[in-house]
Amino acid sequence: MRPELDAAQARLADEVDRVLDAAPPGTDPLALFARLGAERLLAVHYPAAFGGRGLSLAHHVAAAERMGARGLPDVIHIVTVQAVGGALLAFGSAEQQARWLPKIAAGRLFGSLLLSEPGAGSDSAAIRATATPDSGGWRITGVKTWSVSTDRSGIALCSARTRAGRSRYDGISLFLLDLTDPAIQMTPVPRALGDPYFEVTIDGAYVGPDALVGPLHRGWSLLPSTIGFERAGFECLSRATSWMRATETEFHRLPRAARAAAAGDLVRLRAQVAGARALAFHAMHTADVLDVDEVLIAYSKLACARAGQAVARWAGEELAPTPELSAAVDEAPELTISGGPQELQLDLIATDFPIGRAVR
Amino acid sequence: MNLDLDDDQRNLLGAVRTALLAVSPAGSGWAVLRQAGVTATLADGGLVEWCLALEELGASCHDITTVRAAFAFLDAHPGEKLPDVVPSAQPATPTTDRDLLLCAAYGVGLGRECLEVAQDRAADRVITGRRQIEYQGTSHRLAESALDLALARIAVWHAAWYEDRGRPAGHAAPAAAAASVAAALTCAHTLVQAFGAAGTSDPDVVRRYRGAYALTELCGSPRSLWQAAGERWLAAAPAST
Ligand SMILES: Cc1cc2nc3c(=O)[nH]c(=O)nc-3n(C[C@H](O)[C@H](O)[C@H](O)COP(=O)(O)OP(=O)(O)OC[C@H]3O[C@@H](n4cnc5c(N)ncnc54)[C@H](O)[C@@H]3O)c2cc1C
Repeated sequence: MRPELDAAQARLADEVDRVLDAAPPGTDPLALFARLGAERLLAVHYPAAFGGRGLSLAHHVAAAERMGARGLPDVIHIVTVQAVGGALLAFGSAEQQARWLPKIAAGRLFGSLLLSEPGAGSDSAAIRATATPDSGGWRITGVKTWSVSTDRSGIALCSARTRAGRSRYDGISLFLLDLTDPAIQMTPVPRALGDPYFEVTIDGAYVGPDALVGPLHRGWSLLPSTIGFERAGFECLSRATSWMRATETEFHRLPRAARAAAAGDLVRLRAQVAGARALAFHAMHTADVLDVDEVLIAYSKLACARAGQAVARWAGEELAPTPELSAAVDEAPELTISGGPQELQLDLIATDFPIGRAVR
Repeated sequence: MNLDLDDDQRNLLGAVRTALLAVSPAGSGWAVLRQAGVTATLADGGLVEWCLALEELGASCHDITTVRAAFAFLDAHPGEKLPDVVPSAQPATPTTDRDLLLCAAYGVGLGRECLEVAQDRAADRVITGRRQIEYQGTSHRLAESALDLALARIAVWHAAWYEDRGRPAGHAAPAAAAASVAAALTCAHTLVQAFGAAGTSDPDVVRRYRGAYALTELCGSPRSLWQAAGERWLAAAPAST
């Protein structure tokens, strides 16, 4: 048991600080990722041959957490390095790994996820996008929704039906798409806060045989691992942490009597964020690239999302609005929806026997 | 950063669990631990180890006097490897930080037992043709309680870990106790609801439900504990003026 970063994790976080401190003020976030990539800090858990340092996921999240704390857009990082890159690392062919992972680890290529569709969100097996065999490769057609950072991405991991499955979970495959293909069009969809979502229309985009990631027809079972790290909730954790900081700053501006009355609430929220952080780090400590404990991940995601929402809600109810706190209030509802809604995590936790096994 | 137990801690847990299998329904878990020599091992451990043992006591014997017995034992063995006793600056409760953490660990055990019993019941019982646990009204309440409990356990472990290293955060013990007592109460209510009318009649359920409220008598209500933690935190917060 260890409630703090270990020495190696702390050193990585410090290295991230040094790289970011050395960048001129106002450097574009994407350029900052490239600087971090040049120091092999973006994906320390990738093998050295692919631009990483061959370290564990627990090391990676220590570096990633510091990037989030320093204000880098961690959704790009989490989706690209952990989800898309993680899928390639776990299920990609040697050629796919050698081709894509070094660019991702260098911070020069970003990826997004094209999984949700208008009729298939929580139920990821309900997709209608199809991939039909064509000239040794595949032709993909369908509409994907709620994709984020798609406009900054060069590639996307996309789910599509490759046959009418024997069961509804069978016959789904994962493909890597080149988003510069003119057969792929994206339309921004407004979001309560921040960068828009994208609806992506794929109109017969051709991909070669090397675009298939993982086994044909059996992609559905790979999805939990693919988005599993997203589900561990680190993107929620970094929001919870920064919203907590902003909340404390405003709290300390309250009159003395108001501070005294609310101090118990503040400590409760701090404990909730600290507990969520401990679960998230523990989930990564026990995971390896191919294998995560889904139930532990469910606890971690739920704890991080709930912590963020609790902080934002308290701040929204109790403090005078500031731009940062108002943004937190707007953004908070997303936390229990993205990466699969909270009900899916509650189902997993409740049906794990004996209940609580995963967290002790 | 992780929540793993080390080998010694796992062995200790094994010994505690084995010893507690021998507790008769009306018996004292504490007495059984003493007879099995586990308390002697504990005396060499830190507060983390004590908290691990107290969680097992909370989970297995539901006898709140156990906690008092543990305090008495510790008081009679000063100078063990346990941290110094830190009297509460603002005595929202009459206990020390060490005692609060032991209560909190016991509460986590009690809550754990409530949820396991509730889950068993919901998995077995069939209501209008479906297992009760298939209804999200039951299963999600179980899961929500389990999350609260997991966070309470982490608060207890972290507070004890820092105490053992001589770096206690002044507010951590009452905060952990607040989280634990609140979680134990939530889990107890979840248990009664899962049992339906039987939950208000079955003596084992009723004992656990009352046990959760007995915790508030021993260490205070969650609200008062959060407030005590908040006062200590505010007194130490660098930005406070
Ligand atoms: C910020 C954000 C970023 C996202 N980024 C991406 C992305 O990059 N790529 C991508 O493909 N998708 C993305 N998504 C989509 C996300 O995966 C879906 O929103 C999510 O899976 C839920 O699907 P849905 O929105 O269609 O809701 P629905 O499936 O329509 O569900 C609506 C509500 O029903 C309830 N519900 C659903 N299932 C159950 C159940 N089994 N039991 C009980 N209640 C249930 C839940 O309350 C849920 O919120 C993103 C979403 C958000 C909010």
